[in-house]
Amino acid sequence: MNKKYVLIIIVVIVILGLIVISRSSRKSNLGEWDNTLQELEQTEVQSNEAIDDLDSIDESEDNLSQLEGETIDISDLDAMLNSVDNAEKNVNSAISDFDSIKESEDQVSF
Amino acid sequence: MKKILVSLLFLSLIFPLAAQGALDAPKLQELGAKMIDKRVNAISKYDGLLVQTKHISEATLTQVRGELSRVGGENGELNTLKTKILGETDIPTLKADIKLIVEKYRVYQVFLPQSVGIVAVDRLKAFQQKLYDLKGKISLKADELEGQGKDVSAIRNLLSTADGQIGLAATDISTAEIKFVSMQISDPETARSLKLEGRQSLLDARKDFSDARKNLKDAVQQIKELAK
Repeated sequence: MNKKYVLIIIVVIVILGLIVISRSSRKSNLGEWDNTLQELEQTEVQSNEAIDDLDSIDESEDNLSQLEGETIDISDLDAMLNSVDNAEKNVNSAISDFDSIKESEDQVSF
Repeated sequence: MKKILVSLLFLSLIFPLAAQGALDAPKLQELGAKMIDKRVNAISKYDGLLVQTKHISEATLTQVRGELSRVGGENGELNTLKTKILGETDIPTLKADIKLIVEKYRVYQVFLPQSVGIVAVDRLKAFQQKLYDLKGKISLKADELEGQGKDVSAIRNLLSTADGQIGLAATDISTAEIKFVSMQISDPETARSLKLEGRQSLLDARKDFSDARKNLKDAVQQIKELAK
């Protein structure tokens, strides 16, 4: 009789143990899923950020004509050419002045 | 025949008297004052241009402007001579004073060509600076174009040619400056030679600069075509 009770108690304990183990195992599995879901969310966020980054890259920055437009400014060359032309005119004017001085002014006879 | 001879004799007596009458003291004074005013005004004009120069050494300016001031300044020797002439009545002395205006100062043979020549040198140096600036700018643009894979060898050739021309002209400018600074009123004949040599150097420099300018202009045109 005693053996019978002992056996029943052991079976009940084993069953209860199995139930406890099974529950904790389910809990553990759910935690893992939660982690996985969070990781997925983070990955999605990161992917979205990466796509945003990708979209933010302005392809026109690599446009050669725009690059030329920014670095090869022709207008300043034209302004400098005009300045050089004016300098040459000043030289011509100075040489004309030089030639206009008449040595004959330094002659006197009575 | 006799009549003709008498007429000729008469005329030969009359003309010198008439000529002497034309050079009385007031007329000589007026002539002397006019000659001096003309010189002083011309000296003042070119001294004003010398003041504006930017590429002439201080030593040269001090030397040349110092002489201009001594001769043509407000209290200069020419104005002192003018005062003397206006107070003089003796015709031989007046004639001698008027000759002095020319022979002592040689304003048109030495002073003015010297001053104007130096002003021309200054203008040429300004021209040279602008050409160098433009050449440097074109060179930078050529570098940029080359960095973009463009062939800029033709531009580089034009720059090299212009560089040589600017260098030659720079030597001519230095020569001209030395010639003009060396002109002395004490030696008007040598001054005349120096003036002519200096003038030729100015013309040579102008031609080389002008050629350089054309080459740089061509280089700019090529830059524009490559940058399209």
